[in-house]
Amino acid sequence: MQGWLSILIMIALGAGFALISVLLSNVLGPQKPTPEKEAPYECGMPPVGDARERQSVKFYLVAMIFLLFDIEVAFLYPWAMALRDLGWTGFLQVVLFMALLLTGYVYVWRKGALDWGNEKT
Amino acid sequence: MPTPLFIAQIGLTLFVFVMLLSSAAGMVYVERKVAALLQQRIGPYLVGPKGLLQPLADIIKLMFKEELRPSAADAFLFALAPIISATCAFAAFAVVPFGGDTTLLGLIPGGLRLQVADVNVAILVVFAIASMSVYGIVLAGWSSNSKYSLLGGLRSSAQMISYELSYGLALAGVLLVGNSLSLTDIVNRQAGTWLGFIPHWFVVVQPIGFLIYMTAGIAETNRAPFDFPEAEQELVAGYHTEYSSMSFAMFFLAEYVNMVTVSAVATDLFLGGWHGPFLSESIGWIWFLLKVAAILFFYVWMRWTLPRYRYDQLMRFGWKILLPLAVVNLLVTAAGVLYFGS
Repeated sequence: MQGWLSILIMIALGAGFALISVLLSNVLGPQKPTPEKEAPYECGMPPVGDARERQSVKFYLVAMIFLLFDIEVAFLYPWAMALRDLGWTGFLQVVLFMALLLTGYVYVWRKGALDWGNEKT
Repeated sequence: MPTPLFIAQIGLTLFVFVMLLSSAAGMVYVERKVAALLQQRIGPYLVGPKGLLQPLADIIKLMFKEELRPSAADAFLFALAPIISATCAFAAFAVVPFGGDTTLLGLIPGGLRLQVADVNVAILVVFAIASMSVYGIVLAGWSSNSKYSLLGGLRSSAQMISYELSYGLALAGVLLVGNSLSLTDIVNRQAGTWLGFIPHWFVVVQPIGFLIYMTAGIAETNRAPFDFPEAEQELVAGYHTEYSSMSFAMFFLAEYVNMVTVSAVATDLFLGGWHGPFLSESIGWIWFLLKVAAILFFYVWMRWTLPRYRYDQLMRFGWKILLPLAVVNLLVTAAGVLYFGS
């Protein structure tokens, strides 16, 4: 348990340090806000509209594909630890698992979900 | 009743924390000096001998700057994001061992392992906290309510999660060879040599894994040539465009501490950790520091040598080349482990 306690101490130290230094700069630094300072930075031009507009659906797609593959990676960790006991049977099972994933991978590739823009380079 | 070992453990935690802070400050200086070297400039030289106090001057200057926040920003998340970034950066290093057992000149009976937290699933912790750190960047980008910040945050999250897969698969390859989730065990399996001169490092048996790990690690820490979240020419400063003063400094601190962590984990997993010729294990941490320093220098060297990729190139490389390569590497490694039975 001591190990986890040390991680908690480390997290507390990191968060405490960040919090204190940010608070300190709030105390030490000047506070003279003007409407211009509080506007979002747009290269000196008056800001146009709100920033939270609709974004490319590509980002959403990438997040979905990531979820699937990340769970796959999470599955592989215990498998990697147990491989010596599982032997070739375990190896073949993961090859089969990978083949199933590969089908999905080829599908998203062919659908163009992994392409970003139209460049052919 | 606090035992000497417990006190030493707390002392070690504090020591590692301070060392991480100073390593980040040191890296700022090294980065600027090496950049100057590569561009035939002198670099910082006015503050302190050879400009060594430059990072301190930077921190003091940032401390006295006004803390700005766009009026349309989400105040709570805007304040929280840099703190999350910095905390995750420190937490990840907690599980990284950086030396063998030491008795601290005989003060501690039984010996103390040079590692903040000796947990048996260290690799999983590193992987989990690496995933957490994306929160700081996404929240910073979204809460600022600035177009540049939002684009930087979105790009960054897409980039980090894309490369995290290859990162995780490269780690799994080492797990197979090392047959342990504990970083200490993995390092200890790399002691000794083959034929008397080839060190028993996992980079020898996992060369492709090492390359994948380093590439993904550079992408994870948002460093050049994958520094899209803050591509200056396109996005001003990316996710931290609206940040100033110490909140801004926290993002920088997090970036440098993350670099140190990625280098330290690479050293433990692939380069034999604190094992090396000439030095006994009790002072092996010198080897560890040298190896980490070499990787950090490589980081800086890369940044000032290679141009940034285009965003579609980055995503294509991550999904269509690195990920299949990592899967193939893992399967070949698994087959090799079963065939040779080592």
